[in-house]
Amino acid sequence: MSAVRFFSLVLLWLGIVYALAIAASLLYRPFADLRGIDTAQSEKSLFATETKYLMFSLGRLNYPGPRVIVLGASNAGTGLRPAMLASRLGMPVYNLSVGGSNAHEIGEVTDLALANIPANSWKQTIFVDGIWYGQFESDRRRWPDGQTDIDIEAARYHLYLLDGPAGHIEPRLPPLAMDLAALAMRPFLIGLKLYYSLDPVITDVRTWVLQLLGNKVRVLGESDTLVLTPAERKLAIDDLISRMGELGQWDRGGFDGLVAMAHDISAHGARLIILDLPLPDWHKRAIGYDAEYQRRMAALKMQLCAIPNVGVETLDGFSDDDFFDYVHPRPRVKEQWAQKTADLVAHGHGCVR
Amino acid sequence: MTDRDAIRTRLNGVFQEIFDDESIQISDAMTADDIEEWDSLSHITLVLTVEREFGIKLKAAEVGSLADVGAMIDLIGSRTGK
Amino acid sequence: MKFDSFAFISFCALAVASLRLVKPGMLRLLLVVMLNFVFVASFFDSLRQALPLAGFVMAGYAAVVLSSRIGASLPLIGVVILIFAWLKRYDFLAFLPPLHFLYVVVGLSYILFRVLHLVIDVGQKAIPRPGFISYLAYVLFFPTFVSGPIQRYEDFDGQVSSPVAPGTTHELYMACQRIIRGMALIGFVTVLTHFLFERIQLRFYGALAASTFSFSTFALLCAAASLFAVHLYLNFGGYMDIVIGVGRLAGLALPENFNRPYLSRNFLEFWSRWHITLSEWFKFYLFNPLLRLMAQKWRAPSQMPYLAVLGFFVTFTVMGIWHGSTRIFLAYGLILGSGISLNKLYQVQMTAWLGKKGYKVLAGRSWYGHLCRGLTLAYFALSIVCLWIDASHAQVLSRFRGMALVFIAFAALSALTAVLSFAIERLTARLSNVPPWMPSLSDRVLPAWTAIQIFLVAVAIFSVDSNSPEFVYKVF
Repeated sequence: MSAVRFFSLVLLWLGIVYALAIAASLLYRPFADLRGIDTAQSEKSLFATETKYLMFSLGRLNYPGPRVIVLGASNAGTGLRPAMLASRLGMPVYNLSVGGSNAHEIGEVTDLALANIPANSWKQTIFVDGIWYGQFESDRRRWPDGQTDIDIEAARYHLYLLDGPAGHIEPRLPPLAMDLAALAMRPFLIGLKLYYSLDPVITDVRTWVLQLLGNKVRVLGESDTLVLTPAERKLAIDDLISRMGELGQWDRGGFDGLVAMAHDISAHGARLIILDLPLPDWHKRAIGYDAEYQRRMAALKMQLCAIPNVGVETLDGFSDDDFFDYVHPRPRVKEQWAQKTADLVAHGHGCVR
Repeated sequence: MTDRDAIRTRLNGVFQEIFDDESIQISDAMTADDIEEWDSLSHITLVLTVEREFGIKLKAAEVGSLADVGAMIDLIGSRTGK
Repeated sequence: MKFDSFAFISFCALAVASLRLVKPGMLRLLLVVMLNFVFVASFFDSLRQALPLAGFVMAGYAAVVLSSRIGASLPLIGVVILIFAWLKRYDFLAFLPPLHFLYVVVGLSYILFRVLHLVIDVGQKAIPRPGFISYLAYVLFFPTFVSGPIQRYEDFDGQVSSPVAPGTTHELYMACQRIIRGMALIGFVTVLTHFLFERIQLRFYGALAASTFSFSTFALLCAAASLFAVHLYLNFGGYMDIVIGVGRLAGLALPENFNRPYLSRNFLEFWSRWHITLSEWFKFYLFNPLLRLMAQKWRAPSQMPYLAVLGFFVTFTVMGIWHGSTRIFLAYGLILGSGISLNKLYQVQMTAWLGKKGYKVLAGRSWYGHLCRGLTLAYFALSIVCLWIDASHAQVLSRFRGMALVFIAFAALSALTAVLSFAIERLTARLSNVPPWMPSLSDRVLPAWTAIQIFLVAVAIFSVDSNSPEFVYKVF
């Protein structure tokens, strides 16, 4: 056959194969991601990573009505469970936290959320930003390549503008088109998912091999009983110190970013609760950052409280035993986290002198 | 005996001398793959000996790209005006 | 543009379609020149960055014209090479003032070969002088612009001036197979090998810093050297696959650059199987003329083998230096030169000791073949350490303990590779009785099967283009 015919047939078959692949991909958890957004479920989802999951799920915010959006890093995501909060607050709760994020990235998530929530619902939107000192790591240290994980995902499929007209990250396409884009990506995402799904397999094999060689391997993860050994605690603290850098050189970028985000949310007419999350005492004693962070937040409090619809609250009343590692709460404590947070959202007086 | 045959006979002598093998009988289609020791070294030696034997001078491109014995004979023929 | 990007694929599609449609003649040459410009332009951010390259191309044509008048004089060739070395900022020309702006020299090394080939062969009247348009079409030919293969002008001209044969379905399919394989290698396989290599390299540097002479340093050196060799082969071979496949669809039969180099039994054979067009070029324009010069000066036929040893040494040293402008590449050249000349010397000596027949018998023995292969591939893998090691670590290796380490690594890698070679030979002998797993496909199925392959490769490339998964970190 002629070259024209050959290549036309190839293109035709490519279209057919692609369509079939999309159809086949829909067999994978077809109804899993239809409601709610909870980045804690991202590993199980088609999208494998939190940031990918977020970028493709934000379209689900595009409906009118009230809602609560949880922001922050992994401690916020682990501790503030949407279902538990929703039942107490009587409105949908979405978990948009991203593990390891800093104030800059949280600001980007906020931009994206507001871009997807219909304008007439902004007044009914409550943002709960669960903070701790780790989120104020400077951009220079956290993102040495100059791009956050959100930036990378945003740029990857050319679906987002990194410096939109308002100076923020915003989607290029209307929400329906984003859903179609997600559909078109499905076969590729499944390939990627397969690739990522090797991760727990490799971990298990590695653990097994190490144990075979006589090494004691402790799997650290969410647990009601796990207690860190002193050596493990020290490792965690050393790691945090190397991440955050010298206390004397801790810049204010993250804090300025928080203030800017507060202004931005307020300008949209939405409400923001800045929620200081608890840490185990042994952690606070071992590192100077928490104390400095508390000092800086106290100094900022008046400024933040002056912004309309912004509240500053503290989640406390938890002991060291309520955490399974240096920052994450145990499963058995989550209901209390939800209860206290719901109370603070409904009746918090953090900004009243 | 044609001029081409005459060239072939003389060339055969050169081959036998270079590869130190009296039993070699070259044919037009013969290439480097047919004689085991025909490598870069023996190739250039062959070329230099051919130049001396037939009193011709080959250009770099000709030296490098001689594909088979037949091409060699043609080249020699064209150079010696036969 | 990146080879596994949408832009490149679209460009190639457009190029192939237009080249197939336009009949041979000036129009087609102009089309090639235009395509070349578009492709080359994609590597530059500004016009200024491209000026040196453009300047070199123009100077090259001036040299070709001059050569057609006065012959291929050595000074002329020397000037061209000097300009090249100056633009590439070779260390030995550091005393000359460099150009004081940022410029890009992608493709320059290969343009040098094409220009010199033209200067010499036009000067010697082996080929007619090309017109300027033909020259631009040839020297900047987009498939071969980045990393070859180095095609001879006569072949290029002949192919570009011929109409594109319609091609059987099978031929079209095979060309596509080439491209698909190349894409899979570039976009998927070598992303993984590169990633793995980088991690091993880091660990090697760490071990070297801790102690030059420990088991882990040795093991990591062996691992890094072998992995890089495999990576380079797959990466370079992959590029060639894409380029040759695209060329074939556009009606040009570009020369192959690889011929199963892993089968090589000696270093000389290796270089006739690896980067073939490069060693061919050096054979044509350096080794042959050099040897002819020496043979004329020292007219002793019995000395020829030893002259060849010297000739190989010089040729391969220069070839190594061509790879890069710093001192490490001088070392690379010397390593290549030594390797090949020692290899030749060994062959000469063995022939002297065992006689031609005796040596042939030895070479035919299975164990000897595997051992030689091991030595050859190990030497190659260690020689290309020069291509990835950084200056400070190279310094460490060049000291006594470092050299001892390298030598032991060479011995170990040779042995391991020899054993591997033996094992694979046994395995393939057993498998030769197994029928092929894929039945031969009828023409009608080929487009569909091509489409399926394209889709699968696209998914694979997509998977690794994302953040590298943690599991590869965990293996270490």
